[in-house]
Amino acid sequence: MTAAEYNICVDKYADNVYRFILKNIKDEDKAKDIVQDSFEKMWVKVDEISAEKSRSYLFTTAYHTMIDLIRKEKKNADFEEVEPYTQGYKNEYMGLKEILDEALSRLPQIQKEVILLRDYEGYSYEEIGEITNLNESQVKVYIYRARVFLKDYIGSLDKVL
Amino acid sequence: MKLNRDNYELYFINYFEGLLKPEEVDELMLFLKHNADLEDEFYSFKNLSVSEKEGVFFENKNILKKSTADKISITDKNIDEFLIASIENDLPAKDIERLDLFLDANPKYKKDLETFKKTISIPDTTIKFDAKKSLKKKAVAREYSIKYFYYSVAAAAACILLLFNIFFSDISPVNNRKGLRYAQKDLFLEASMTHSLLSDSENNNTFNNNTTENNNTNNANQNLVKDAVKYQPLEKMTNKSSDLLLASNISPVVNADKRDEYSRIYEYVKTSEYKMEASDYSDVVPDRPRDSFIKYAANKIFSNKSKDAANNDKSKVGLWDIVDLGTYGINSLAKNNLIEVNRTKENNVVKTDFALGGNVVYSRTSSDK
Repeated sequence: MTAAEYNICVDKYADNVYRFILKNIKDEDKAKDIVQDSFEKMWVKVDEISAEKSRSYLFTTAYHTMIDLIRKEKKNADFEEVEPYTQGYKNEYMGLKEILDEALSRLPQIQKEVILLRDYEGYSYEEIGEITNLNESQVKVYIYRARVFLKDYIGSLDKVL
Repeated sequence: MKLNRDNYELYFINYFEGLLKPEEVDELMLFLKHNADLEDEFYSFKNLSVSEKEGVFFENKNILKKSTADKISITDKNIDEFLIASIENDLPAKDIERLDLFLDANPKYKKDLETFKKTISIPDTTIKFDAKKSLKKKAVAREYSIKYFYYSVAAAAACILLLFNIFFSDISPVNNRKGLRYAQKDLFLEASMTHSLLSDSENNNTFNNNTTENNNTNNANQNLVKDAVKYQPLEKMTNKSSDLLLASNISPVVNADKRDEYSRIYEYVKTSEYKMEASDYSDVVPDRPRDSFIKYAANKIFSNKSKDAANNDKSKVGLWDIVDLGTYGINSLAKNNLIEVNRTKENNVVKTDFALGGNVVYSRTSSDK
């Protein structure tokens, strides 16, 4: 990949990587740091990475950087614990987007990651597996569990939709 | 396999199907003689053997077969899997039809399908990474990384050696002036040349005066000029002080002749004749093409010569070679026009080293006088 192609990657993917990370960790500064770090890592290996693989490389790098950060801050345990939700405590005027965001935040971290990679970036199960170091079947299972959880959560608040 | 009461059934079947060897038949007969209680069972196996010739077939075996396209039935228990596969666009066309049929038959699940559709997150495209500019890289820096590396190394070497040479080398402590000054290159060079000529004039005692009345004043003037010229050489290197020397503040204390002389010198140093004469300053205005930098560096540093040959070779690497090399690196990196000069007068008394880049001068002048 040439420097020019690298710069095109910045234009094409920086926003996407940023949104993905921000949605996961909900901290703008840290999300920006991770994006910065990921691009710097890609720049170091710019001669080894083809332009076609750049998007995958960026998301994989950003994903692992984010996981490292979460572990470092010992937030992992918190993320893994799904807070049981209670029906009817939400503002009745809450829109679908807010409800979905709330539901996403209650997902186990790994389920949230695979769902966002699937929905935000349209990655295949195989690609998500490569990014997250899971096999395809595991990805499918996590997506299945996440969808069921989200559906139940939204369904439980259906009356406000 | 040895015939015994645990495996005799297999022998019975094989016997009636004619699959036993003669010695196995003999063994079987002997076994039945010793186990007479199994004789009835032995004959019962006779009727189990059915030959194709008898024309007995299971007519409906095709219904038992599974086609490769056959799928798991959709039920209340696995409907979520099909609904999720549907919103994930992971359902084959045949299964989509089957799911539609199932939903028509079970409309209560249509609502579930709609809820599942709502679980798909849509990215908020108003969220932008606003520091893209900081991520971008200059192509030239990367694509010419080797050249960049040479420049960087040379620039670092130049900086270190310049500072080392200017501030720490073995110089006479008697008169040592050094520092960083503001300057304009052309004026700096001219003022420096003027200083050189003025020093020569001074040595030739051109400051003599004829009248006693003016002697003290002239001596005082001479001292002022000496101070200006000799002890503050760096001040002369600035635009302001060179102007002062030539036209303003110093002029009142210098008689008209001297003032004219200075003016004449000043005009003279601007001529091509002077530049020809001052050939020993030729290195002040180098005009080497910068793109030959790498070749130049390679010749200087990686010259494959023996030690003796290198010692006898004028092109051997010396301190100022490296500094010179470094300044080219700095120039190439900073698009500057840095010039370094080291000069020792013939009597080895006055030494001047200076480096000029842009409007800044690093300089050191030392003298035993």
